[in-house]
Amino acid sequence: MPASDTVPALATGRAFRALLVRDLTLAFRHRGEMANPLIFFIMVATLIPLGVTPESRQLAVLAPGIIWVMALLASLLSAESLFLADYRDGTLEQLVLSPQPLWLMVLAKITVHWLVTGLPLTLLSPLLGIMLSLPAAGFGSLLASLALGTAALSMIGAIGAALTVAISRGGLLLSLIVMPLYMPVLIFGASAVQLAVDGVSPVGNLAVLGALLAFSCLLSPFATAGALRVSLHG
Amino acid sequence: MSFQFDSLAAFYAMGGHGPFVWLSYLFTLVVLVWLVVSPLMRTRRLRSALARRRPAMGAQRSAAEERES
Amino acid sequence: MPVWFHRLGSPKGFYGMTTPWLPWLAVASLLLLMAGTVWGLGFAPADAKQGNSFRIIYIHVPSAFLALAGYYVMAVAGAIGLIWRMKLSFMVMKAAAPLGAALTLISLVSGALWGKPTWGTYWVWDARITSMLVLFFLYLGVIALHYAYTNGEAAGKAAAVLALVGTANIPIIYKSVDWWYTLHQPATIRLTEAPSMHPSMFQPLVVMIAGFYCLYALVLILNTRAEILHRERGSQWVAELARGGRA
Repeated sequence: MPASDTVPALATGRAFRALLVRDLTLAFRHRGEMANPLIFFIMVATLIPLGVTPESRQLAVLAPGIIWVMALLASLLSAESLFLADYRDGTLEQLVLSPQPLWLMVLAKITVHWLVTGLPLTLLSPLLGIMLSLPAAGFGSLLASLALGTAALSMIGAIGAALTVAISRGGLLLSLIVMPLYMPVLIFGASAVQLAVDGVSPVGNLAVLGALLAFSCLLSPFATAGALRVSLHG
Repeated sequence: MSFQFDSLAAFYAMGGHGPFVWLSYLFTLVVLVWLVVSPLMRTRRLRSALARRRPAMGAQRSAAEERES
Repeated sequence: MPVWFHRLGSPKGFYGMTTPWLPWLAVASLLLLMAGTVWGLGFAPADAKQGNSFRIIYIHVPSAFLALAGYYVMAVAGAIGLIWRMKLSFMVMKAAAPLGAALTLISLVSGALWGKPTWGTYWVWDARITSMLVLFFLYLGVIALHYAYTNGEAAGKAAAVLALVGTANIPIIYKSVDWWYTLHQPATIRLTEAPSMHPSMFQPLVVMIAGFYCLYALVLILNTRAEILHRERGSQWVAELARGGRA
């Protein structure tokens, strides 16, 4: 007798919340892993002055773009972890087979992923702004653009993570397939900060970022769910 | 419509832009030829491999090959 | 559904139907490309500003056109494969990926070689070329995904998902790169913009575009046929074909 006959299926809303709580709990249990992309973010910020120039005025010119590129790379690094652990211990299989709509479960996982990677990155960014001589006018836009942008990057990265989860050492492949999709977010995010630094209102750019986020929220859960089914069941 | 160059040498030189123009066309030619030739070679390899295996080709053997794919 | 449509949908049917097409496509491609090349290289007038390096346009524009169109061909084939579960459609998509990537590469190389005498550098981060580069990466991703999956069927489906996601993004990417470029550069002459092209310059371009289209169709069919032979090698009709029978 299949389990679903004897155990009532969890109501969809409760399932969503349960998955959210579970993922958050697991993430906090592995706090060290959470820190890795953040440490990467800060360390790479040190590389730029070492490799390019420590001169404050030149750094100020480059700062918006550099911080954004670093945030993008840190996001890329963390994208692989979205499904990998669950794939390895079989939980992902259960999730795909469960009666809950997969796109909703995926949405829960991506939300946690952002809360645990993108949001800390955003909150840490003013530190990088200081280290890279970002002019004061840019900080507000930096926070806003990264908040919206890292969320979009999490959404987009999920598709790549789902497509490569069953491939050994899929991380590199994930970077390759996701990078072109990241570029519009980078373009509008970095220039939002640049515009603010130049004294121009970044609201238009931030609106575009918001639109990109909305679009990815619509597309990604379904694409990711489809990709998971292909990865797991062929 | 007339030939745009005074001589064949002028045609090659392309007013100083010769290397760029000829390299572009040459690169394109090489790539396009490769695009056409590579599936032809692949098809030939596949057909000859199949023809060679023909005497031993039984239902069991081809099923094993399917699993290998 | 007409019979020929059903026939076209099966790998064996496709193989048989396309066999007589090949010589025609080959001849058409060869004639059009040769005519266009000779015309463009020798008989079309040189550009007033750019001189003879302008002749690279007869390579650059057709290849760029087809590189972009080819991505949609690939994505549509993937979509058809996913929606109607047609094996053949996935094979066409798999064939379209390296073909499109090669055309994008031609477009990039010809663009770089055009840029050097015109702007003084091989690489210019202008909107069109940057978009072409991103298109190249999109193609590479689809190709890499095909290779990474060991199961051929799953590979097709995964690649189709990626190709479709890429399709949704191409207009976004193009628009954002376009916007990015105008933000950072004042309006300069765009490399492939030729709104006021004289007919004598435009005509050989049309011939070349037509030639590239025919070649695209030819190569796509050839690669699909090779893929069919590989995937269906265990079947009876392929065995007969190898034995010298007709398809």
